[in-house]
Amino acid sequence: MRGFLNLLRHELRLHRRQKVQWVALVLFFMIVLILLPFALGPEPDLLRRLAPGLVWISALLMTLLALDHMFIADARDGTLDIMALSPVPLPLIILSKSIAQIVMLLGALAIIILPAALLLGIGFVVLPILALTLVLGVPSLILLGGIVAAVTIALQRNPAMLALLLIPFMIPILIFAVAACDAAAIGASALTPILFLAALLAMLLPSSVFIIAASLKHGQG
Amino acid sequence: MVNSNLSSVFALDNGIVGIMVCCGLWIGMLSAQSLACRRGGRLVFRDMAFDLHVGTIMLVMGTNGSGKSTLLRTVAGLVPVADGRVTFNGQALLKDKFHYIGHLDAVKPELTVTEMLSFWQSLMGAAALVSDPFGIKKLHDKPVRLLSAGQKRRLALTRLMMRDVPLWLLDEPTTGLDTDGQKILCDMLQAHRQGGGIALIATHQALDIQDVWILNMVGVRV
Repeated sequence: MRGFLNLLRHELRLHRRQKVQWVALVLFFMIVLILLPFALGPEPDLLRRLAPGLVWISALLMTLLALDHMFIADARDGTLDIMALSPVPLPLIILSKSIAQIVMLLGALAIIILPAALLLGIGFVVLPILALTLVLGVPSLILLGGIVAAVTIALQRNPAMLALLLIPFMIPILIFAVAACDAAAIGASALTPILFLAALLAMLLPSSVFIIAASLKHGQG
Repeated sequence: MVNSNLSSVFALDNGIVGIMVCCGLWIGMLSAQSLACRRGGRLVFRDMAFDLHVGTIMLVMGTNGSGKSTLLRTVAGLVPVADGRVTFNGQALLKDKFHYIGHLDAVKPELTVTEMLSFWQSLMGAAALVSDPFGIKKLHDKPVRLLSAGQKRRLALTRLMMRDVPLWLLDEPTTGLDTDGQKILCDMLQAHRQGGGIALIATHQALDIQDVWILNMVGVRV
């Protein structure tokens, strides 16, 4: 357990040191949200209706851009070999990396969600639901991204393939998240799509680390 | 340095090793039998066989692309074995029996030297450095991105001192090392050997160590 906490601390420290990359990610998120109203037209009603979807697409792109931290950088610099040969079980190392990535991305989103809500005129009824969908959905995106990243490493393919492979798996998360926000906007119950998001996360959380470990183990060479 | 109690008990030299092997006291033997490896469907080597007894250092030499690194990775279990097997004392080689230092240094430019060492320690389940032959500790709060290539190599090689293990697998360990660093590495290898250790080293450069075995990889001609 202490070993696991040390690994987690190391990963968080590594993320904190890569400040420039995280600032760039946050700026990217804000730029997308600032530019979209210009592209769609400055009608407040239209923007308010589209806002959860726009926030989600920005968050999704941000997650994709941050996936380099999930094993791809480690494969490039040789750290992955040390991880694979460590007496610490590989799924545990993967869990520490995933948790660090989730904490960092959710932290970044927590900082920018309020300005984004003000910018797009998201109401205070929808905002908590939007935040909840992000808390449940973004970890699933990261875990799915981790699986696809591990597969691209195993197949020794260009990580640029990653986005292409990942998009079909991201669609259900996007649909349920936006459905929950839409339901909240018209005053209906958002429970069902949120439960679906929670179920996806509950399924991915225990299984993904083993899937990632298996593909990293069998694909190296 | 390596397994100091072992070395004091057995005070190994070649004669004693021979006797122990004859008596069936396999206190450490790395053995490969009809080993073959494929990468991307292409045969890299086949019918590889060797028995390395305690105190043996074997240099794996050969031209670029002859499969030196692949052999080391196969022994480490990082590359699946296409045929044959690798055993240590007659059993499968376990992760806690060897150190593998690849040709990549596996260092993170954002961290300091001390942070890098403590990360490796938590990965390897080691408490502290057994010793610090490369003097890496005096660089403690220096960020890794400011280290020279040779210093990064020294840092990577310091991983050998994290736990006492009987087998070292080193891929091009001298790359970037100055003459002083190479001498330290040779001294480390000598001490490792005297402590009953085995080392398998892929290298282009002859190391300044006496009595080494040389495995010349010629590659597979189709």
